Amino acid sequence: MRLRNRPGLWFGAPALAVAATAPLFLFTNSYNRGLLVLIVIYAMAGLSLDYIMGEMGQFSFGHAAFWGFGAYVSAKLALDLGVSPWIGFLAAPVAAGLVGLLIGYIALRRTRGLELAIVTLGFGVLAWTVALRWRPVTGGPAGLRQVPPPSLLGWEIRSELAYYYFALLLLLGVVFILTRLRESRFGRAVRSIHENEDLASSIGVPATRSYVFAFSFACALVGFSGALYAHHFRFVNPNLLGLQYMFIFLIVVLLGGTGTVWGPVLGAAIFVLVSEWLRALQEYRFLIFGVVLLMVVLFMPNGVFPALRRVARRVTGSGRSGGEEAARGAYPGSGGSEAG
Amino acid sequence: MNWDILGQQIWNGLLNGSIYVIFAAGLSLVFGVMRVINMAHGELTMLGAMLLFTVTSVMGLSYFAGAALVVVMMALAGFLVNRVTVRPFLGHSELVVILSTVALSFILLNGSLVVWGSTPKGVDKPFNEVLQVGGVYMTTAQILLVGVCFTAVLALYLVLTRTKLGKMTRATGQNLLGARLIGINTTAVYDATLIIASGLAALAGVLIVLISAASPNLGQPLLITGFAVVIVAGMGNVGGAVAVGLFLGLTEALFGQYVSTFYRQGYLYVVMIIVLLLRPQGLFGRR
Amino acid sequence: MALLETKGLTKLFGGLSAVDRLHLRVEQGDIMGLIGPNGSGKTTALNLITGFLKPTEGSVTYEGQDVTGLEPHELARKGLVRTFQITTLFENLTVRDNILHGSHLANPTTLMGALVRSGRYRRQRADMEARARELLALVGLEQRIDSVARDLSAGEHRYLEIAIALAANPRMVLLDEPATGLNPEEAAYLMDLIRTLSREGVTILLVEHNMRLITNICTRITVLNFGAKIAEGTPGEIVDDEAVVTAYLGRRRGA
Repeated sequence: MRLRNRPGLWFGAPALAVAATAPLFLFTNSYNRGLLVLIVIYAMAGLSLDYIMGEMGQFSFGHAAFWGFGAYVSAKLALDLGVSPWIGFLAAPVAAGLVGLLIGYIALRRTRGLELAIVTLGFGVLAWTVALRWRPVTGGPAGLRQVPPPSLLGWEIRSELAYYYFALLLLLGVVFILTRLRESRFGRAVRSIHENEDLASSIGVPATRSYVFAFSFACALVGFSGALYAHHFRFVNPNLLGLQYMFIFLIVVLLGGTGTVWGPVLGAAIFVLVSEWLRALQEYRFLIFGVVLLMVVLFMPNGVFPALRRVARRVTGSGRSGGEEAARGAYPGSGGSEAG
Repeated sequence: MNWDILGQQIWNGLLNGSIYVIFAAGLSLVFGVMRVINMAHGELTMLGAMLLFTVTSVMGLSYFAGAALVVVMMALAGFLVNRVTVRPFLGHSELVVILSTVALSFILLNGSLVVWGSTPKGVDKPFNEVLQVGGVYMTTAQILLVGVCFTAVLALYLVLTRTKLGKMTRATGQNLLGARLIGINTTAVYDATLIIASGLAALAGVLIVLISAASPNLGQPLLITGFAVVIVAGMGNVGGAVAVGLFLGLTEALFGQYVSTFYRQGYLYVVMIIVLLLRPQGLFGRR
Repeated sequence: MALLETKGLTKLFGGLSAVDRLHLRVEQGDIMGLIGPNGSGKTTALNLITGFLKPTEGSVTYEGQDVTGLEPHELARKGLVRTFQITTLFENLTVRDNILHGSHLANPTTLMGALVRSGRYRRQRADMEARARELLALVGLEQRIDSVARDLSAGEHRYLEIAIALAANPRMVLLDEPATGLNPEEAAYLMDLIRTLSREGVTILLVEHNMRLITNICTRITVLNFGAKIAEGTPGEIVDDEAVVTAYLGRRRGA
């Protein structure tokens, strides 16, 4: 059965159907459709953070800085040089990727694990300070406004609906690339370092170099997500680089479940919708959110998606002999879809 | 060169540095013993400052009685921090513990905003005479701050090096399994570590109000400064954190005076990056 | 010309020498045994040769090139692959994925190929899959291909570890006490396996403290004590060597 060979499909196909039709029923006004755009952008940022967490088994606390950096690069190009946002969508990931390469090289030579988390936190805060202080370039605390939307054949992608489908398409592209990348030689190298760095280097995987490139790739991806944010919400400010968004991405990843392609997508949807529903509680909103978060961590430490997957496996009867843990280590497709 | 300004900046740096020392020592202790990044450490300090405001201004306690009460209360709360946000997750990945402490900091910060609002609150200082030593102005409250910090560091040093508890925390930090095998109750060690660290965090909070106002927003910037200190010193090295905290406090003030007020906030992170480039394990770290 | 040669290899830990001026020669096709009591510096020597530790002094030559201080992955690229004393696998992956991940050096696929899943990529993947099955058949694990590595027995762990090393297409394999934790049958099977590798043209350096286990299969043996070489020769010569008997076997007998 095909579903069995493509473990992501049972979730992906219905999720895509819901995502494609959501603007038709639940999300019918522009405010709600703006939430959909936010879900897509957070999902992309979450996928990128999860590349570091799930695939590399590492942690970056400076990830929001790359997100904000990508947003600034694209916004700045459009505002100061009149460059088309399309070029910005390319330039943002390239710039974020290059900075990621440099910082990855500095940070990953010796540090791993929790040390890396704190080191990247330091970089993130430094970037935030610069964004806040370098007024002539970054606009200081107020940031930059009037960032133009992208246009296609003379038609501006300005409405929430159009931008949502545009971003959704890109998100699907990202999911596709991430899925294929996992099976590639590079993806396997990264995974093997995650599993066992000594063994990986003894069989010829250049551990530090692979990790630096993987880190840079994740930075490029999150920079791209940041550019998408800038051209939709049409402003950038130093907060985009700060801890608040860092926590949001972290929540998106851990809520959905790390190490799975669909986890961060689900996590982004849950995060945006739940915090929206809690809006009625006004100042109690984030307090309640903290409690909800603690509860989720307590009762679903692996995230919501793996819990759902367990249920789905039971229903479709496609459980593996190795159980849940084996599935965590396995790749979509590596279980025989190509060998068979 | 105006020597009075230099002296004044050294004094100001010493004040900030004392706070960094107390704060970073607790952060580093938790990391060194438990391999846990406590993202709520800054909010514990904030809570110390806010509670002090409440017990002095609302309940009418004196500064000293209030400070003692708050530090003891917060130290005991450290037990709860361990049992609610750390211990249940130790079997899982290190990241889950980060998330649970992030959740705790969310709760503490937003809970405090609900209770106290975001306006900074002044706390009455026990005494606040201005003294002039040479050309340097200092207040008696500031001298109290520095004195308490040094006493606290000395006490921490004695606890960690001279007591059985200190030996047990070091053994646990070096090798959890080994510590268990030789009969150390590591759960109790973890409880004690978070009790000490929370007490230190709250102490930083009750001291901060001697030099600035109490506000629910003071936790996050302090947490970030604390991390810079801990990285430069070497993760988990408490003694190093003390030396580096003091050094960075001093040089940060001098940087602000003589190089750039504007980028003063960035100074710590630039130092951090230079240290990372030249000595990734930190100044006092061993690899 | 020796395939692998160390000259004056020395490692000091805080002033104490773990390895002391070690001269070692391994010829193409050898099964060289490196033996010595526990703590005699065997594993340190192996770590120095494979780049996991940097020597304080001395040099390592491989295929006539100076490879002193190269990183482990650079040496692996040159065909020098090791295993670890404590079995080291990708514990969370299946046996199949262990081999496929271990085939980094033998993986010809390109990034673009993987992204678009070209016909060429599919063929290369099928070849790798076939090669993985061959290697697993060679070590006798073909029945366990879908098991998760951590569910394997101690013996199977070792066999899989050797298959992973082979997946890198090595010219020389360094095995660090591979019989540790195995029962006598498993150990015997392992020694057979090592002989098979040797027949396939792989040169072997076998670190072991149990001398009886390896006298049958080694072509030459070097004996270490306190980090220094005390004897070298064929197994027959070693068993009769005075220094070895007193420093190593003698003490054992007396114990």
